[in-house]
Amino acid sequence: MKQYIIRRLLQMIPTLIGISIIIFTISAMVPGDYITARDNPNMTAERAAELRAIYGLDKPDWQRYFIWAGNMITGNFGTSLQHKLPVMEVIGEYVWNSFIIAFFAMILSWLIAVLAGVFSAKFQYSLLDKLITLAIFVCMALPSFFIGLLLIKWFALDLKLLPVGGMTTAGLKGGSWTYIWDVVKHSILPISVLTMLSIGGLSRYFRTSMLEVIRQDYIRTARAKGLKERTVIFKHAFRNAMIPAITLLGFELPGLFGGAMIMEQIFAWPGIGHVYLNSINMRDYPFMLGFTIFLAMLTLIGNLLADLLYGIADPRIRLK
Amino acid sequence: MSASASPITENTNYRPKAVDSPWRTAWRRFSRNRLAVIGSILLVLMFIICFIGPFLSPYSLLDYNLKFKNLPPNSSYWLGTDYLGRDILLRMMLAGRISLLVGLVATVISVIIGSSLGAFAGFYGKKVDTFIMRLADIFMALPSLPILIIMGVVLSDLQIDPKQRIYYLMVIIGVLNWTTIARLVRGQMLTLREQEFMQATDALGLRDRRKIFKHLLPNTIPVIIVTATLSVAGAILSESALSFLGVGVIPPQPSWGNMISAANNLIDFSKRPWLWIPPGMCILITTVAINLIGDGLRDAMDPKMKK
Repeated sequence: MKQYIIRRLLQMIPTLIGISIIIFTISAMVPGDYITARDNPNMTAERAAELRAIYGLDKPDWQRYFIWAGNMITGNFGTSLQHKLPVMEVIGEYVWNSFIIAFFAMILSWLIAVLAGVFSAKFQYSLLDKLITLAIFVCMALPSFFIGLLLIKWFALDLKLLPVGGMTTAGLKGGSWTYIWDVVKHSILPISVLTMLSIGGLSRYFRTSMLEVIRQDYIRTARAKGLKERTVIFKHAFRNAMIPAITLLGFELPGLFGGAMIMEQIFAWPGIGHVYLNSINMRDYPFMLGFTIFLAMLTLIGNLLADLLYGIADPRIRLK
Repeated sequence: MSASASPITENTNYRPKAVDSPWRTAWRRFSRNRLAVIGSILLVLMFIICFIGPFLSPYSLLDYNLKFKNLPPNSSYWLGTDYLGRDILLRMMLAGRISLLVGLVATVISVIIGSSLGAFAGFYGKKVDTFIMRLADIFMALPSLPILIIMGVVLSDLQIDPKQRIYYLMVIIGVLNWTTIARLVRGQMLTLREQEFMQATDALGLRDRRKIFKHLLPNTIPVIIVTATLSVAGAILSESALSFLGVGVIPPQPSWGNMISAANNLIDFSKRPWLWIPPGMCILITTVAINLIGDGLRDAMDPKMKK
């Protein structure tokens, strides 16, 4: 096991190098830099050159790549030009806002998807199954930003039930409970949209693995020995059906910490995705690059985690 | 279907079904799947409306008529007009052409790249395989939306003409999506190349290229078709998200995504829903239809693939 993890971690190195080269190349294609993007009329050519020298923007691209990549190896992701803070600190500051909605959306979508999957497998080809399937397809096909906008229009503008956007009401007075309740109200819409978006794929997955398990011999045995249907489904079938699903938990990792860019933009949620979109407009390269690499790392670690979880959950699988 | 031509003998149930080609069987299974048929009808309708509809419209996109700006839906402007007095219905149909085309072409690009790289990896194995699959790993770990957005910004900064920009978008979306197909095709290749008909091609002394493109790849077509269908929906969603953020298809070229970005303006968003709800519904209908078709195809062509 330990050997397996070490080997997988070593394999990540060339992948990360490849990713960093691609990401850096794309960002180097952007004409203009942070200095020009700020569009400061008082900026003299001399001052601009001075600033470029300070930020290392005056060097040729390939040199900048090696400096950047070299720093990253030592754990230094650079300093965000816009926030004047190390990239990792900026990420650390905003990532939890993203995490809150992503986490609750994940729990909700797993709960609903498990139920939907189990029931549509149990009653395969019934009306219920067909309705669930259709609903799932709609969820899978949803353009996230459009559905977000529709919900804001209905629930915030027309019905005035929920706030339009943001995370807290400005100038809110009261204790910590009022504060928490305020955040909850603001997060209902983004969480529901995120849930809808991830429900589709998950419940199709659960349905398939449930269908596979239900046809196994041991389920017939369980029924034959007179167990209640509920016990058969939820104890014998469900537990086994969840084994492959555990793998999916690993893949959730980048989603949990990566921020939902479009959602955060629409709901003006101060998460990391929102900050990232701003950094692109500001041409804040160190942050853009650092955060993209951070996302890629999360994906790779998530994949590894998925494989490890599979090995832990199913003793028949041996990781070599 | 020669059954109707020859007299059926009474005491056998034999019908010459066995001669059905796999395509015909697949078609029969597909046409029995009600959701898939509904999806196909919706998609065909969407294509007809978007590609033929504009010819029937009495308006043109150059009709800037500020007297008729921001009209709600009425009898002469079925879906209302925008801030320049342009007919929303016409704009939406033209946007549909672009969005559908971007989705289709991007998918064709990713199919071409994905299936040939996957085929090479599976056929040659060893170093070629390792190299291509490592490349696939890299692309799989690239966060696609951030990369797409950065690329969109690059296009804006290079000040590419809005008309040409569409082609760049197709290529970018296509290139970022090749890995799924490559992996599937490679997997199929690994089993296919061990089968007997490949020994026959060896015996015939066929060249590698002929083996791959004439004998192996055609066998992976069902897998490719199913995955490609579903990825058209993905490509349309990517394009619309980018256009919504202002880094995809940009005005004056209409696309469903950038029409929805009218909602970024608070007054348009709350008081003039006809500006952004219809294009959103178009995206929704199209992607749902494509997903239904893709799922129907999967059941019809290869029940084993069903997930």
